[in-house]
Amino acid sequence: MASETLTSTAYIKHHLQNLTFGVHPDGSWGLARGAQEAREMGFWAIHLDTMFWSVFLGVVFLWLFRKAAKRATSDTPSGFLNFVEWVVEFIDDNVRGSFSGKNDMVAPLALTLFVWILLQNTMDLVPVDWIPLTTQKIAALFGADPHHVYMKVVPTTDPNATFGMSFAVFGLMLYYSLKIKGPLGFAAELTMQPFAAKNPALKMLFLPVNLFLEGIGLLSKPVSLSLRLFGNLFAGEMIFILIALLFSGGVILGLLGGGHGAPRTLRRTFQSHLKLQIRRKKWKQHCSTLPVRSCWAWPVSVWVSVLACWAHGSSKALPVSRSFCRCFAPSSLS
Amino acid sequence: MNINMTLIGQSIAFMVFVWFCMKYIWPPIMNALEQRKKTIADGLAAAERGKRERELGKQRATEVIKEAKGKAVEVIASAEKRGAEIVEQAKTDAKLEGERIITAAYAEIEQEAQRAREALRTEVAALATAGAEQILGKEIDTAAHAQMLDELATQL
Repeated sequence: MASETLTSTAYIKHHLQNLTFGVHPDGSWGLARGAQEAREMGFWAIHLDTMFWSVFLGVVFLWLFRKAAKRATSDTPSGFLNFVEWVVEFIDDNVRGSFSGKNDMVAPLALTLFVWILLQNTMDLVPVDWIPLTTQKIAALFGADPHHVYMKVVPTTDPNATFGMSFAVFGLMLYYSLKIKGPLGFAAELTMQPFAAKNPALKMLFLPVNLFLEGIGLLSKPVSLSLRLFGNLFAGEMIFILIALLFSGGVILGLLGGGHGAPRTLRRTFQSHLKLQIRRKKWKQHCSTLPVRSCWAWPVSVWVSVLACWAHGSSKALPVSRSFCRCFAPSSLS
Repeated sequence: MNINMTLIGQSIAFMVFVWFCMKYIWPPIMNALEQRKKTIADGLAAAERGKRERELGKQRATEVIKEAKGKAVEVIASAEKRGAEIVEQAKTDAKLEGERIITAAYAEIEQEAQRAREALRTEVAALATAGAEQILGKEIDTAAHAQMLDELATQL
C-alpha cells in the first residue's frame, strides 16, 4: 500500500480528487490519472464517483419512500411508514411556512432536496478511508494502479453536485415565474422595482438600475445557496481528513478516525500474541506523546467531533432546502 | 474540483428524482395523511355530537321525570280530593236515604193506622147495629138507617 510513503499533503490531495472520466487532450477517452489530467480534460469530463454516489443515494431515498408510499393508509401507521410520514409532515410544514402559493411541485422538491442532501451529507459519517481504500483494493485486483484510483464518497463536497441542484431549482423557478406571471410580468418584476415611478421618462431612467439590482438578486440565489452547501460540506470533509491524518497511529483510532494507516496496523493485529503485547507497549508509548494521555479519551473525542461535524453538515440540509423553497416565495411567484 | 459535465448530470438526476417524488411518493403519502386527518376529525366531531346528544337526552330525561313527579303529585292530590268528595257524597246520600226511609215508614204506619181505624169504625158500626138489634129485638133497616149509621161512624 502506498500509505506508508504518502506525505500528508499528497494524502489530502488524493482525497480531494474526484474519479474523473473524460476526453484526454490527445483525443482518447479514459480516466484521469491525477489532478493535472483531470484539469486538462476541461468541461467534457464527468465525475464518476459523484454521479454514482449521488444517484445511488437518490435511488435509495426514492426506493425507501416509494415503499412507504405504497403502504400508506389512513389507518394507524407503523414502523418505517411512521418515520416517513414524520419527515413528509415536517417538510410540508416547512414549505407551508415559507411558501404560501399553491404549487404541486414545491413540496416534493423540498422533500427530495432535504432527504437527498441529508443522505449525501451522511456519507461524511463513513470513515474517510473505508470506501476509497476498498475501491483501490478492488481496482488493484483488476490491474489498475491503486495510487491513481480516486474515490470521493460525499457528493455534496463536489461543487458540480451542489451547482447542479441549484441550477435545476433555478431553472424550475424561472419556468414557473414565466408560466405564472407571463414574460411581461416577469420582465416587469425585474425592471420596475425596487425603484418605481409614474413618469415614463423616470421609468426608463430607473430601468437599467432596477435590472441590475434585481438581476444580481436573482442570479445570486443559486450561486450563494450551492456555494453555502458545498462550503460547509467541503470544510466538514476536510476536518475528517485531518482527523484521519491525526490518528494514523493506532488500529482503534485509525478505524474510528478514518484509518489512514489502517492496513499496516491491521496486519499487526493478526500477528502473534507476544508481538501484540510488544505492540501494546509501543502503543502506550505512542499515546504518551499525544496531548491527551488516556487512550480511551481519544476514541470518545473522535466520535464527538465526528458527530459534531455530521450534525453541522446535516443541519445545512434543512436551511438549504428551505432557502431553495424560498426562491419560490411569494415575492417571486405572486 | 473542476466544473464539468457532472453539473449537467447532477441537474438531470435531480430533476428525475423530483419528478419521481412528485409523481409517486408525495401524493399517496399526502393522501393518506389527509384521509387520516379527516377520519380523526370526523371521529372527534361524532364524539362531540354524541356527547352533546347524551347531555340533551339527560336534560330531557330530567325534565320528563320532573314532570312525571309533578303529575303524580297532582294525581294523588286530586284522587284524595275525589275520595273525600265521594265519602262526603256517600254520607249525604245515606242521610237522605235514611230520612226517606223513615218518612216512608211513618207514612206507612199512618196509613196502616188509618186503615185499622177504618176497619175498627166499620166493626164498631156493625157492632153497634148488632147491639141495637139485640136491644130493639128487631132488625134495623140498614138502608133506612144508613145515614144515621154513617154519622155515627164518623163521630167515632
